[in-house]
Amino acid sequence: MKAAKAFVFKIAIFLCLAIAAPFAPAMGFDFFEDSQAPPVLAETRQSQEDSANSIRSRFSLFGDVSLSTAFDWDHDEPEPGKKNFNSLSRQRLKLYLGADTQLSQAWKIRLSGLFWYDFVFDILGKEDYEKSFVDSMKDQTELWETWIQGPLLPGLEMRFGRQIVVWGTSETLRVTDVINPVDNREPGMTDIEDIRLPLLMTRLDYTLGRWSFTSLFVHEMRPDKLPAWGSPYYPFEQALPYDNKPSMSLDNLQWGFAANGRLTGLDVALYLANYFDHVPYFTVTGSISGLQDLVDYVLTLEPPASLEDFDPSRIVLPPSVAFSSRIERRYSKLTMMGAAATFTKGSWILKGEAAHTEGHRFFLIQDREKERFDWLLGVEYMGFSKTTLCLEGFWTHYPSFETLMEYTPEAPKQSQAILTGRITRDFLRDKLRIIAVGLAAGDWGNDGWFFRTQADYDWADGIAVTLGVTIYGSGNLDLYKALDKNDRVFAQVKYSF
Amino acid sequence: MKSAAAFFVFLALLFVLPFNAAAFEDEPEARQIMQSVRDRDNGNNAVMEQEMVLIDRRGNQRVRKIKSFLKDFGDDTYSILFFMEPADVRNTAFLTYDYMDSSKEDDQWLYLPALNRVRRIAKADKSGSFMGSDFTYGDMTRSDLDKFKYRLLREIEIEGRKHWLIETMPMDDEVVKEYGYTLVQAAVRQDDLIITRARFELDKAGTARYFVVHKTEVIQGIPTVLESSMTTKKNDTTQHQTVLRLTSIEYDQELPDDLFTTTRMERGL
Repeated sequence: MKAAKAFVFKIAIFLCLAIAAPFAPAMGFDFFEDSQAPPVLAETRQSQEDSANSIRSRFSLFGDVSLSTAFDWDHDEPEPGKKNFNSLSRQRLKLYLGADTQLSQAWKIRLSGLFWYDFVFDILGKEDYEKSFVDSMKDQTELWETWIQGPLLPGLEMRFGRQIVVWGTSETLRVTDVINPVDNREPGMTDIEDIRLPLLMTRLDYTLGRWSFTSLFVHEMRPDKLPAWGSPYYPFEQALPYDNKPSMSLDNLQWGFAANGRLTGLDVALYLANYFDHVPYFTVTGSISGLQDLVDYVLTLEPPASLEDFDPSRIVLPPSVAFSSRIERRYSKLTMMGAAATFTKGSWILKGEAAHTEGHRFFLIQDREKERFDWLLGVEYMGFSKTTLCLEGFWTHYPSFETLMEYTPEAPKQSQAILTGRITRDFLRDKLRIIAVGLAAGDWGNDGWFFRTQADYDWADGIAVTLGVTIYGSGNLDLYKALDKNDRVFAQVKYSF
Repeated sequence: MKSAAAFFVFLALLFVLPFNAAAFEDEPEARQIMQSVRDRDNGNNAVMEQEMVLIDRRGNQRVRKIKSFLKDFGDDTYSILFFMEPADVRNTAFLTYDYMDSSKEDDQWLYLPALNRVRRIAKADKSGSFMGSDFTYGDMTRSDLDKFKYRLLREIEIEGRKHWLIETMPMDDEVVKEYGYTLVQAAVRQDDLIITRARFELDKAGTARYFVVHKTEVIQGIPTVLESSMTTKKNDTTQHQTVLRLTSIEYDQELPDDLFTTTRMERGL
């Protein structure tokens, strides 16, 4: 009996403590006592206001310096005398340097440049690489975003110079994001924001309430930077032909117009642009010398009674007649009408883009322009702590597709689907970010795919370390057949100032 | 035996009942105090420069310098915030349209210079830490009073000044998930309606955040917090602390409306 009483007593005490324990913090108000506030853990720097600050605030120098390295491991054994790419593939020192000068309260100038040198060719020797590949990847010196900006009129802002303009909503794919070309020499190795190339343009922005209107006049034509002949990413059997880029002229002026609405819970955008495609098409150009002599000769010939009676061996052209032709790269002038929208609801972001472009040309049918429709639907979910999940589906379709187009070097498909997924998660109070991104083209990725994962760690303020790996998968598309076997691990240390 | 068991059950109920969340009734007086805090005069607009110091438990510091602008648009408040330092977050901008109408969700956008694009932030992000600090995105906007219930615990004195000690509880699990905390106790200073101390119980077992105001001053007639800190503790062990110091502030400046637009985020300061 006594033992039973003691047992019940213990259980009751336990229950009291167990029930009360979760509420114990609510019961204690020690924190609100004068002496109980958590102290500041360390002395913090005091900001000093002095006259030098006012000068410094008008001029600022910024940039970053990084050293990145990469190692490939999946290439096939090369033919004798050919380069084995299973080795160090990058040892690149890069400097991005910029300066902002505030001319007045409203006007500002930026000057920036990008420089890098890849030591890998010095370490491994240039002899085994194609010259065009070495020339393309050994070093780079480029004027980067350089512009002057300020108000032309109240509410009308201008920015003139080399700059990057981003349209659309996608993190990975480009539907309405058509203005700037990209550096695609190493596809899949980095996110799209790192590969856009600046263009010389005049940008005008006007804001009216929740709407902003942007006009662009693009004065420079730059194609995408593509893998050079000899690059392990190069997809063709021969070197690319002559590049006939449009010259800078009034006739070749490109322009764009965007209307952006930032509404409650919804962002919408409408786009209109006329621009040169950043990816070339191939065309044959030719010339005939002695044309008049040819015409005179043809007029002397008697037309055959039927095709069976025609004997080509009897045709003897005058010696003054000669034909010459070559294949060259040219760039279609496209007109794009598009729209984009982003809608937020709870933890979800729904986004979509649509674009209609016309003016596409292809080899063998360059006298006929084609139109194309592109769509994108995407969803992001942020319901998990410090995590973003993103899934995007992209479709492209040529309504007036011709069978002949399948045999062109541009190799378009009448319809193409691409699916991308991205997971981003932050750890250690945003000091560490893990990213995983994948892309699959065609049904179940049978046209090709790639996957990249990387960890970005903030070692200290301004110092970041990155480690990652990229894996490629072949498929029906020649592009992904070329990407396959380029699997690589990479690392980078970057100091920003 | 029966009487002993009944006695201890009674004791348990004594402990449980006063703190049972279901029994927490909203008190009009407490709600009125919090409404007054929300309606406290903070000028029609403000331009601020702040230093945010993130301190881990080993004392390692990361410093963020921020310039921010706030402006009232009727009952709504728009704010835009630019990070000035360190270099890798320079010109990152954060724009908020904070609506008084509780039926309208606040709009928030983030501009990352590396992306060259403005992107929306979804509502659920409000419970996430702001740029790695101990403050959340939800802390950066005014709380929607209708999503919480309030009660006045008692009056206390801190540093010789009278305070109301108010307890705040989210109305439902959805609000808990949105803001990330299950209970808040806040000390509201009676003479200037500044919350000088607050304790946030997070939706993670054993984790709480402690907000302390270290220094205030009346600037242009407006009581202003010059230095505050937010400390995160788990099981009473300090995990991390953020010190927020106001290095300059000016109220009621001429601020153009187009300063609070996504276009301005892209253009920077």
